[in-house]
Amino acid sequence: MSEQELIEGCIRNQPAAQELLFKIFSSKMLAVCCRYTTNKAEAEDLLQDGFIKVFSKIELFRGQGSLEGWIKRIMVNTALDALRRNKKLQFNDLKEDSEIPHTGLKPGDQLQAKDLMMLIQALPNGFRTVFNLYAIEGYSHKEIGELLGISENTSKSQYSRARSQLQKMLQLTEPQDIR
Amino acid sequence: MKERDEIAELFKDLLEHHAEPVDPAIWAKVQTGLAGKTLGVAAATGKLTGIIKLIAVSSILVGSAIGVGLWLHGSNKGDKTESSEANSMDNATVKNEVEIPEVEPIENTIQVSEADNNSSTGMANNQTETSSKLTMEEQVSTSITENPVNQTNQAQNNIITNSPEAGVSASPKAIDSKNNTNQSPIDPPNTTAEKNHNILLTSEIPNIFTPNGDGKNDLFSIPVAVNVVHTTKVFSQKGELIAEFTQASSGWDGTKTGGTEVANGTYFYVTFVSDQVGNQKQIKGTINLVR
Repeated sequence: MSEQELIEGCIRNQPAAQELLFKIFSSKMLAVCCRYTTNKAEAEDLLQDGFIKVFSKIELFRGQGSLEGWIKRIMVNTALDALRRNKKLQFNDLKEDSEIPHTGLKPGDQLQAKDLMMLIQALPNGFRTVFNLYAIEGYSHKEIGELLGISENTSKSQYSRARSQLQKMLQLTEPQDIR
Repeated sequence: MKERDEIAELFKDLLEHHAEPVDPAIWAKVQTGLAGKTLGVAAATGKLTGIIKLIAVSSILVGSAIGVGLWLHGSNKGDKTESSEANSMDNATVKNEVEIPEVEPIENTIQVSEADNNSSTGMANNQTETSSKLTMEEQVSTSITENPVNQTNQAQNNIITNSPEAGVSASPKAIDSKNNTNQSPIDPPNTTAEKNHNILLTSEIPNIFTPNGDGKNDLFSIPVAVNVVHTTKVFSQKGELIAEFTQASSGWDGTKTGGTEVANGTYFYVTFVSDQVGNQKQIKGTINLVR
């Protein structure tokens, strides 16, 4: 089955096509959702909402860019919506020093994705969101400012604080050079 | 020029293509959510299971309750003396309030994502994907040129395998542009890219396979015509050679050398297809492995 056939199947609401699409992308998308939340249960709720949107709007996918990129944008937007709705997005300076999580890493251990995920999830919501959008999704500070309704400079300062906090956490868990 | 940001690179490298195992129960919840949305279609086709029908029926009831509620709400403004009817109205209104927020944010989000889709800035994710594809192509063409058999073929038939035409018609970029022009969902998949392979291939090369041992779609193979030979290499996203097979073997079963199963995900392949009268083609693409 080609990707085009898969998309057409989903447009026609064929359960088999929908299930295959879910199978192909859900584990990657769950990882995306995990980055925007503090725990897996929240991430699973986002994944569920996000995929319902994907299936109800798939006829709007115009093939500009990859299908995966399109689905990922829906997931990220779903995550941002949830943060906005629950008024969890605050960009104040008070929460700068959050608790440093214990990752159980020993010096010399190879850093793994799950370790970094734990660190990201430990960040305050504002830091985590800006860090994700900038470092991993690759948005510019200008775009992040527009998405989150903050100024470009707030986005920059949130990012640099998030970055230095992550760096601190990494040094605590692994004294050696990270590369 | 952005200065080198090691923290960002580290997190991006490890997390951008990270995957988390998904609880199968979530798919069931998504299906339930969809059944609520596509109620009309679903009821008409009558292909749904009893449970989903039950949910559908209850949704209809909720829907009609909302209708009644709204009507009562309209006719009842300022008049709160009818106790029993007012009670049922309250129930309906509560349900109404629960239902509506679920619908509205969706519209907003999708509009945002469409705008993103159209904006020229786009997401860096796509750019990264493209660049990793490009790197792959480079590696792949190197390995092909190093292959002595291919070099002989090229010399004998005086056809340059790595000519821009061959590369472009089969590269993922060509597939992307095919999608771009394919505005109508019912367009037949008969494009120029495919016509070029027609002599050598019996059908389009699949891009998804499921090597889970259920006997369906368990092998990734190249659908070559009679008397056509091929050499196919499969690479991981990091450019590691995972598997190599020809028309003599049945195809790739989702394992790498040594027999260990590789993870679900997207892999790149490059196949060199040729027949006995000198038609040949190098085709590159991606294959999705889903168990």
